[in-house]
Amino acid sequence: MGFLNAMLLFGTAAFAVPLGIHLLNRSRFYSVDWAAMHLLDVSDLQNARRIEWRSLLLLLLRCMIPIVLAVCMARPIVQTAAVGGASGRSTTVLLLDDSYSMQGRATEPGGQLSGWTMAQSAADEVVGQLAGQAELSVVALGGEAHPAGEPTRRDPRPVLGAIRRLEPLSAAADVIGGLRLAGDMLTASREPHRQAVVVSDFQRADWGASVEAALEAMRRQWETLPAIPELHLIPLDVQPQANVSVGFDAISTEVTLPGEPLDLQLTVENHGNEQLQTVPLRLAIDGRDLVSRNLDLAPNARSQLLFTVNLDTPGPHVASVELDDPAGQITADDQDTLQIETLPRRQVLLIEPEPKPRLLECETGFLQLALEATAGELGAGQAAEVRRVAAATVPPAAIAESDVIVLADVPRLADDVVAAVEQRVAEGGLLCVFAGESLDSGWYADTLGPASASYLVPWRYGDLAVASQQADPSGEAASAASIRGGPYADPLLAFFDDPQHGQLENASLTSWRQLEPWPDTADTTAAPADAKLLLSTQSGAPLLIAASHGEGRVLQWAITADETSGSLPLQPVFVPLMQRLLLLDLTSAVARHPERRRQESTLTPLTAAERASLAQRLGGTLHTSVDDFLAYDSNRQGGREIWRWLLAVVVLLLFAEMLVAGRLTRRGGR
Amino acid sequence: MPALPRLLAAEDHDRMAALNWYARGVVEGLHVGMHRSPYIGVSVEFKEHRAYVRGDEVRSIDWKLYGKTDRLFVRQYEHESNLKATLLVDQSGSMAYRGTQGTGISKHLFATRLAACLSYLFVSQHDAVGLSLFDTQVRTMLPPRNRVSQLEHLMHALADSSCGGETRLGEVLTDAASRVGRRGVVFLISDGFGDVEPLLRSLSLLRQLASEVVFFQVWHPDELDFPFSTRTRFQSLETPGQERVVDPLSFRKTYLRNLERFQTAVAEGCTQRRITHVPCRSDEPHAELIARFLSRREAV
Repeated sequence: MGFLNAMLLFGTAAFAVPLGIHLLNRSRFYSVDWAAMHLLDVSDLQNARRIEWRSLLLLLLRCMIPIVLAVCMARPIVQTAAVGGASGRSTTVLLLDDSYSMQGRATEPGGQLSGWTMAQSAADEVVGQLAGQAELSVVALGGEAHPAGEPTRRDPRPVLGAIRRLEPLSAAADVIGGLRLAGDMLTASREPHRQAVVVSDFQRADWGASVEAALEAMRRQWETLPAIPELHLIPLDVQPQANVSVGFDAISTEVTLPGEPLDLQLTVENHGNEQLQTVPLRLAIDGRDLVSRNLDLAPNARSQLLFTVNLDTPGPHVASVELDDPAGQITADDQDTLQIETLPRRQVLLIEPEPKPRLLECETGFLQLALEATAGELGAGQAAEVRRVAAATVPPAAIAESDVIVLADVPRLADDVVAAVEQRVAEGGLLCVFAGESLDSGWYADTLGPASASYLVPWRYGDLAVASQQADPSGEAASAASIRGGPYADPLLAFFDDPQHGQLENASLTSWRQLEPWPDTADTTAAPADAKLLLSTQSGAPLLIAASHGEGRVLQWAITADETSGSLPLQPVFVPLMQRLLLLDLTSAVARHPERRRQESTLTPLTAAERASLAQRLGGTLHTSVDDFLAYDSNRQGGREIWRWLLAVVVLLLFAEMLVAGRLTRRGGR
Repeated sequence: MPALPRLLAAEDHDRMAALNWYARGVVEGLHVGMHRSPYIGVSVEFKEHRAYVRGDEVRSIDWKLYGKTDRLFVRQYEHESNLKATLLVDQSGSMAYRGTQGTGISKHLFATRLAACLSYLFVSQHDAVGLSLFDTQVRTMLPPRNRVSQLEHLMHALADSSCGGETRLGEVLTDAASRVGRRGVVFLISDGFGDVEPLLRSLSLLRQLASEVVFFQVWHPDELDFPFSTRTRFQSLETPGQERVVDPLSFRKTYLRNLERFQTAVAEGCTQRRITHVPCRSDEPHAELIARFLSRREAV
């Protein structure tokens, strides 16, 4: 038999209370001068013995109650052979904290081992004991929580190998994500017993008040499961120590053009209490040192550095920063990397019905300005090399050299041009079609519709619609329509969910071509399956359709590229809208969380009391060490808790005590 | 009578004045009274005729009947006598119990007041009443008299009595029986504690001598209810050094069983010996007790 709370066994000493009261009562009595002494004689010896036995039985019951209650509270485990069988199956998810704070020295005798070494050792022990008895999974918490290796039951080697391959990342622990992942794994389990075991240094940045509400919400979600998982917390104490961290704070753009100046902002922070002098710092681009500098860092101070770099070569680049931490223990935050994409200059071919002498009188004038703008989203360089040609004189070779082909209210094209456009789009180019009064919808249906060999336009152009003839959703006639605001499903347009980036709904539309899906005929079998509506008016009239074609993409507008259809080209949002749609295409920015990446650099683990409070709020069990957990699990695996039975015994003892006391003291009749 | 107010309250006077004791059988007395006497003598109440035998007084011959029947008959008259009551009051140590609260009266005081009431009752109806106070032996003996001054003597004797010492009820009653002498009524006022058999034997002897024996057995309420709850050392009132430590809560049942046995033995023994057994509690009004007893007695 084992006990989960063996300390409470000291409570069995409480049996001395009724015993002491009994002995005290025997030594203290009340004196009475009595007459009927002959009535006090116990002539019935058997009755006298019965009275004595009942008194002893009552004393025994009163002593047994605190003893059994204390044993009950100590949660005894009775080891039985049956428990190790089917009822002992369980699913265990081991959440291993591989965040960079685990590189700190562990608070163990000698203090030579890092917290990560201790964590790996603890994980090995847990896996070693649970293997064969539980389905075991490992979730690494560092950075973005993710499973490490495949779940295993009998052979622990894959899991042990996965643990060996883990290294502390240069990111903080994703506690919420890890517990959510563990919850999903435990929910999918069919085993009767499910548990999540967290091995972590419990840094305040990861487990503190900032995630408290999310943790409690997750725990409540766990409690709704049919079999509520157990949560075990195994803390590994890491010593608070001096540390220096460096990281990229901000960048002017993560997608740039060749030759564009790029601003990189760094933050260097001394998390210790000592002044640091001449700390070497190196900034490198693609592995080549760009800047080397020695820094003086005040205690607990933060410094920000700004560097400007130029990336000439199109393609991905890696900016890295590194410093030599004098403390030297935590190295994961001594360096940081940043990926930067340098786009090649995009060749844009604007095809308009006929050229005009003045730029803004042209069909594509506003569009050219927008693509060549220096204040656009893509920075101070020219992201595109724009060329305008008339529809009648389009050289097919120019089409083949273009990345983006724009048809600005072009009535029709020559067949060889159409073939060249179709081929270029199929190879990965972008076709953008604007529609106005000049557009010949019949030619588009015949030449670019589903019945043609070059099925480029995903929807059919209809008649020209005028805003004054339309009705807004309220049923009242309006002289102008507006574009429906966000949120937008498309990742390129999601940029405009933030009003600071521009508001499409501010643009008013006076006319547009009606757009509708092609009739569902046998000829439409080749219709693009991913054609989707990106923009529409407030009344629901389609404005922009996007579809793929081969390796490329087609954007089909219902309006013109100039101000003929409305005020969209005159709006500030027009520039970023056209740049994103025509130049960025599917390239999206990479989100960065510099604050979260470096939040563990100041080692402030939760105190013992805070850990206990955390465990209580989460409904979990806080273990003092991995051995404590292993002993707990060993008892659980090898035995069965019997405190419920003992509690029933306590209740029975109470009833028996009342019964015996009642028979002894009953004031019945004569 | 300075002792009278102490033992007899004013309401006791009034209550006793309204009561009469009529002897159930014949009694022997020196004075003419309200009770029938076994002696046929000087009286106006004719009883019967009987045939003349030699030796009868000539003046008792009914000459008128001789003239009618020509045979000699002697007239016999019923002799009315006063009743001689003897009060035997126990003043042993056990009668000193007055309860644990100390607020009630002792059994001895109850017994003396009961005896005072009975004395007043008999003296007020010109019956002779005597008193015997005893513990291990008869300590005070006042022979029955029907004088008014007898009441004063009785009151003084009762008021001066004090209890203490052991009880040998059987021996004392045997001794008292020899002093009762002539046929009368004997009242024994005692708790009757002790061995039952000697007590009953002595009562039986008394019953043979007296025309009626009434045993007022005095109980204190504590002795009937045993109301103790904490562990208690009971020290004997009669025998110094004799004590017993008892857990009353666990012992009460046994005590009540012992009590029932004792009461049953006394009650059945008295019934078999035609002795009137009157159990009484020391907290009930003694005058009311006498009234209730007399009422029941007349009904029987």
